[in-house]
Amino acid sequence: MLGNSLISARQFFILVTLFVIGDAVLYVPSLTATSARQDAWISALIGWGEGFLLTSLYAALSLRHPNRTILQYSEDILGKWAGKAVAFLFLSYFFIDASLMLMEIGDFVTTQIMQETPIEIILVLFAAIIVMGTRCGMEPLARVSELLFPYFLLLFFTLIAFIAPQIKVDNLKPVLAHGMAPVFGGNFRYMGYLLESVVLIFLFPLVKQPRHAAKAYIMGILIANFFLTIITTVAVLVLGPNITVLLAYPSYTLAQKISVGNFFERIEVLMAVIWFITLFIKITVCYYATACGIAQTLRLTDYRRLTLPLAMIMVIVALATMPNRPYFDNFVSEIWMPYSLTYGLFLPVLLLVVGGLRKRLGK
Amino acid sequence: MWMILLILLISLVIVAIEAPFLKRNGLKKELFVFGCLLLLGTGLCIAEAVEANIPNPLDWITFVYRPFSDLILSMVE
Repeated sequence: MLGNSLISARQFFILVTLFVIGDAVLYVPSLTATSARQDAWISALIGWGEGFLLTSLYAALSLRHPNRTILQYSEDILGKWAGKAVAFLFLSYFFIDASLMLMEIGDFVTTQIMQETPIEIILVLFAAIIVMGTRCGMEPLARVSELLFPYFLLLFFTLIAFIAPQIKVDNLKPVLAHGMAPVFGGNFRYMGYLLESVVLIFLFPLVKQPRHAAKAYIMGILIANFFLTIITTVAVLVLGPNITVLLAYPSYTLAQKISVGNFFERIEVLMAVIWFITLFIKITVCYYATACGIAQTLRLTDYRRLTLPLAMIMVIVALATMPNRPYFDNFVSEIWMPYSLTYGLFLPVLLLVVGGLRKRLGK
Repeated sequence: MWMILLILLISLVIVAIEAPFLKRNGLKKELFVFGCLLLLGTGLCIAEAVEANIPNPLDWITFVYRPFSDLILSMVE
């Protein structure tokens, strides 16, 4: 069903890292700074603990049900109909997530790089690549992520190294001027992104050694948190909190500001490449989870047949989800976190508790 | 008009790619699900092409989660 493909723990680690960095690398600095201002970096630091706890939860849940995906064991645990309902809720979450990120790509490219191109063209092209990736299966995708990871590291550290001379430490002061409450407000948005890592629970049964996979899951989210904390801190250090909040894509503006000796400049498209790498991995994982999940829930033999028609729906849903930019910003900043919380925390805890109770009562 | 023709052409190409495989292997259920998704996809694309008003799923999500979001944000801000 899952294409019989197996991935190694190392590949899973890289998938988790790139997935969690995903679209967060462009949005997180302004989202956390919205409420936390110059303390955005503390909001991101709190995320380390949350990421650790969340992935421990997912790993514990997966280890109890080896070789079954979350959609399958939700049926085992909750019974046929309630289980199917939960499975469809999860599928809708995966699909909405994939569509939203597709729209983010479209919006980014049409507002920052190619202003004259109609957004539909970008969406269709990107959807085509995602469908190609999904049809190859998870094993090639894991290898691609392994191949792309060094490029990602190179580009990321190039960006940080060349923007470093413009850092102004005064931008971080005063620390905690308004107490901890705004910091948690920033963390509220940040956590919405961490909760999306629940999608990866779907890939967990594919990893060869479950014990190592659990470790890779936790390490992956911690490393991703490391990158996100760096980019948030650097954005606030260089641009200052007031400008970071106003910008749609602060990390991209950061790259635009790079200028070494009036010679090495205008390398902002490098930042876009970082984003294309991480976002490609993230959307493809979400899309794979959707297509494969539909096939599993409806007991079909091959998910590949569903990928092309599903992509048509995805492009239209993506277009429908962003009538305008303020609507989208408002959604991501206020609604996304509680929405993700349902799937990232509430449902896994429910499955864990009910599964534990059933096991105990069954004995 | 051209857009609608183009969309129908794309749908036909998708059928040409997938249907022979499904038919050959006698996968009835797959063919049914595939057909439903394709019909929905084509319908949505044509609706988009004639600029019909497509409902936004985020509106429904916002409707459900707004009270919860307000509650949390009122605590931290």
